[in-house]
Amino acid sequence: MSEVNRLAQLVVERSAGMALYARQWLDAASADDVVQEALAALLIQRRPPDDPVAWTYRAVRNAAIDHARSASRRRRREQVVAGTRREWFEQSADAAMDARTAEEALRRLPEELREVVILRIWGGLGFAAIAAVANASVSTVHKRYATALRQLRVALEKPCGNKID
Amino acid sequence: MREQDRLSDGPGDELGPGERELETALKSLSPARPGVDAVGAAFSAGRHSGRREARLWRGAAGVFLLALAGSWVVPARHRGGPPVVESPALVSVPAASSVVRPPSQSLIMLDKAVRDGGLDALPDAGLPPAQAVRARDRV
Repeated sequence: MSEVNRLAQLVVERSAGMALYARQWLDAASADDVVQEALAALLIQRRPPDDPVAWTYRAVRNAAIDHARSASRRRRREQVVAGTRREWFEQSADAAMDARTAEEALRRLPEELREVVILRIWGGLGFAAIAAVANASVSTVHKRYATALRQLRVALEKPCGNKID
Repeated sequence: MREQDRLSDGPGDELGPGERELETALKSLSPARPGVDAVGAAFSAGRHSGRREARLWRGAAGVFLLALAGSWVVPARHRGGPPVVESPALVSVPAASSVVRPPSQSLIMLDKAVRDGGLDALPDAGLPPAQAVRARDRV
């Protein structure tokens, strides 16, 4: 298998986690676009990055934040979101918790905590890689992860509708 | 091995049993399947790479054309090359044997003979001998 195919395979296998990560800032369609652009950007690198998965997450993050800042794209995104809505998680009987409840709880988390949880649990990244992607120190990332899980647990034990501080 | 390394680090001592349980429950959720088209991404990457190579070739061709145009426009003496030494014009001189000498009775030759050797040096005129004229031959 060529290097390009291997990289593409590696990223496509993780594209669901990447799209979920991009959903923090974007609607489903724009998140897919951003992941695809990041994959294309990875494939045109003359020298593959040391950690292609972390590199692609970083590219997804930068592109998603850029997209979210664009006013015209924001308007289009709002129209798309109004027309179609796609859940963050697949509804599955095998899951240990309700997908929509988990999504709501995650949405209420502050952005810097939420991204660490997504990168860790669905991105499968180590804390050093998360620190590189999120522009933070490893110890900060550890603290954010622990804080996020505590806040999520509290929120999921409470009745729905309570905002997480 | 790498995957193990990825997931083994972490704030183990900072997480309580409740958080550990929640972590496991969250991992059981699968993110929604995205509409990522790997073939489309590869095509896009190939097209971008092709554009980059085309730009490279166009740039090289442009530089070459500029250099070519410059070599036509700038005169040779302004290019800082070695000075050009102009060779003197050669004039062919006919050999002495091929000079046509004027006749000995010409004014130039007679003048030259007088200057060189006086009147005695004048060449023989080569006139026909004078004939005696008799009276009866007169009309």
